[in-house]
Amino acid sequence: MNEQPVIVKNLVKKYGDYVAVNGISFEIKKGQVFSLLGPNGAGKTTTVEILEGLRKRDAGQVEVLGMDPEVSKEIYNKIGILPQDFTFVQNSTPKEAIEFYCKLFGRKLDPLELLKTVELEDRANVPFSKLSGGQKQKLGLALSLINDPEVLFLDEPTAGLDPKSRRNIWQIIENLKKEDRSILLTSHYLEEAELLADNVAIMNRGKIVDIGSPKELILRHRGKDLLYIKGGKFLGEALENLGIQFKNEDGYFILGLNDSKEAIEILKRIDEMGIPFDDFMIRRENLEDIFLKVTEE
Amino acid sequence: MKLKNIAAYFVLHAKAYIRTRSGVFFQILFPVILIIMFGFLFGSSSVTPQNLIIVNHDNGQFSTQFITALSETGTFKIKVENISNIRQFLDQNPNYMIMVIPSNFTANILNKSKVTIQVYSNSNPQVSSEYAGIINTVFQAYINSFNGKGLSSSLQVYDYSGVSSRTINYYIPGLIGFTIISSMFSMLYQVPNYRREKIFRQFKIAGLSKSEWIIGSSLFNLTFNLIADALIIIIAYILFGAVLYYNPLNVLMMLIIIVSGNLMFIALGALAGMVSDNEETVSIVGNLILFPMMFLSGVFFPLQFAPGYVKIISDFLPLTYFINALNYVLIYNNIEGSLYMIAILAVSSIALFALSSKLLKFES
Ligand SMILES: Nc1ncnc2c1ncn2[C@@H]1O[C@H](COP(=O)(O)OP(=O)(O)O)[C@@H](O)[C@H]1O
Ligand SMILES: [Mg+2]
Repeated sequence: MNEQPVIVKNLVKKYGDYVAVNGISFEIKKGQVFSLLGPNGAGKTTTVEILEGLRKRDAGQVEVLGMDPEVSKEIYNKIGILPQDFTFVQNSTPKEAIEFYCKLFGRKLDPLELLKTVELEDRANVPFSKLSGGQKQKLGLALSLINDPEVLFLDEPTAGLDPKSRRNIWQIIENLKKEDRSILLTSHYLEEAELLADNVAIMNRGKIVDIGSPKELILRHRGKDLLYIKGGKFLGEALENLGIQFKNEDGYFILGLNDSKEAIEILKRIDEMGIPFDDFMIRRENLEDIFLKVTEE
Repeated sequence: MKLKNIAAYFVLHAKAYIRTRSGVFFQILFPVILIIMFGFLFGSSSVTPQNLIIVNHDNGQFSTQFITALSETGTFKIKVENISNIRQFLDQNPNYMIMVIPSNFTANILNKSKVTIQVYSNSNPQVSSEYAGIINTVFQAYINSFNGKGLSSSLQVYDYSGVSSRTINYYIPGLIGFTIISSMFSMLYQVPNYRREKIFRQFKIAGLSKSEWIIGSSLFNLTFNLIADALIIIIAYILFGAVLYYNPLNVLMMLIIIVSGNLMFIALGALAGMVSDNEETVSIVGNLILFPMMFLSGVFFPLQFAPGYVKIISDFLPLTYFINALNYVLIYNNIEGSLYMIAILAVSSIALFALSSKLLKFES
């Protein structure tokens, strides 16, 4: 129905004089995972909560499923929300929490079936306070699904989790993606965005610095491939004599390459000069490097 | 407001609450322990009889019967005397009360017309109004004993057993007040906690409104309060022979008092919780509310000997109305006299509920 379930145009949010979100625009297409990627304090949560109708914007237009979330409260019947640092009544169990939500949303669901989709069925009767961080997040995910939402807002769903739980939640999100739901995922883990997102907006200090698919972003920002050579001060002198620019980091000499063949050339010449080197490798810039680059600018 | 949403929260909270055994302990077991303690400590003692002088202008048989009935309560030390200047007498003897029976007392009963008596006192109004309440109870019971019956059978059995002199009775309204106060505390702790933990936000997302939440909490606490209150009354009756009025009308009135008191203190707790943004302020605010109420409303300490201004403050405390209304309904059987208190309770509980659900914010 809505080909663009989420549309944001020139969104601005201020806290007093501080501009937390500074005129950002983006769209999410139906069935897409869109990731807002940025360091802490970038303005991700502020943006998401404006889209959820939980905070008021200062300027700009926002449309979620054709509605203005600030005005239309019926939006809650159609969107799913996993807030940052999700918590629930400490002494309630996942099963009770789901039953409560089902009654409020007027849905008939088998709590255990739903808990199965987030792999939490064996903790159905454990009080919330006794669940691990990952299990709490899984319950939050389950609750966000009760009203069978068209759009899901997941605010840092894996922050602070151990690698295993993180992978676990990624798997669940991938499954949700297959169900054709549109998902807005905020994260400060690049790996997560690279793995799950169709589109990524890199956000820093209230602004979107760049936007595109993970591949596009890498292509756009990728610098030279880098040659790392491990060696002592003779190696440094030799490189200087050859007139090659380099950086020195952690015992590695790092050289920018115009193409991969150049590496063979350089190593050959060093070898011919009889200079010893312990180790070498070629590294291609990934999203992480690009992220660091664009957020530092 | 949807009943289904209130019920959903009721169930959620009840299950979570029962899991915290300490909460259940405080809400039910603690008042029960208190009534047993009070019972053993003071239950067998009696209220000191109040000096009562009866000025009897009536020559008929009924006034004499009435005086006998009154003396049988054991609450009064009665002297029948003629006092010409009541005002002067009471000024000189402030610890006396005077009751005047008019000359037409017997005649009016025979004619089935309105019978009146007068009670004068010059002491602490709270104490004297309690005794006046007792006199009124006996009087009503006595007059009622004639209703629809021939005057030939003038020796009716009239029930004034409710006006027992047992002290245990006087602890019951206070302890019921105590159970209600404990539900206020649960709100005082929950509001800042749920706001900080963003649990209110979860409620909001799922479509539970503020007033549904407050009503749901009130109903849940009411359930526990009623269980505790029933236990208090049953234990006081079985173990210590408390005598209360339990006619359907009295019970109904008691329920109205408890329901409005509950809603009122839940709303007060929510309001207090709104101004407490962290755990420290919660306990400060809690004590600020609790201690004056405990001392000034006469729950645990009788106000007979307190200075006048304390009694004025006391008159403005909601708990005072609550306890006085229960006294009138359960102990003095003076429902007519309790009506204005019940009205004040009901109106202020609804006003406070409206205020708290308007002011409460599910988000900081
Ligand atoms: N309620 C608020 N009041 C004042 N400042 C806030 C509030 N919420 C967030 N901020 C500030 O706005 C900036 C963006 O915050 P946030 O949206 O939470 O970022 P992110 O989710 O990307 O970490 C931060 O500097 C934060 O301190
Ligand atoms: Mg955030």
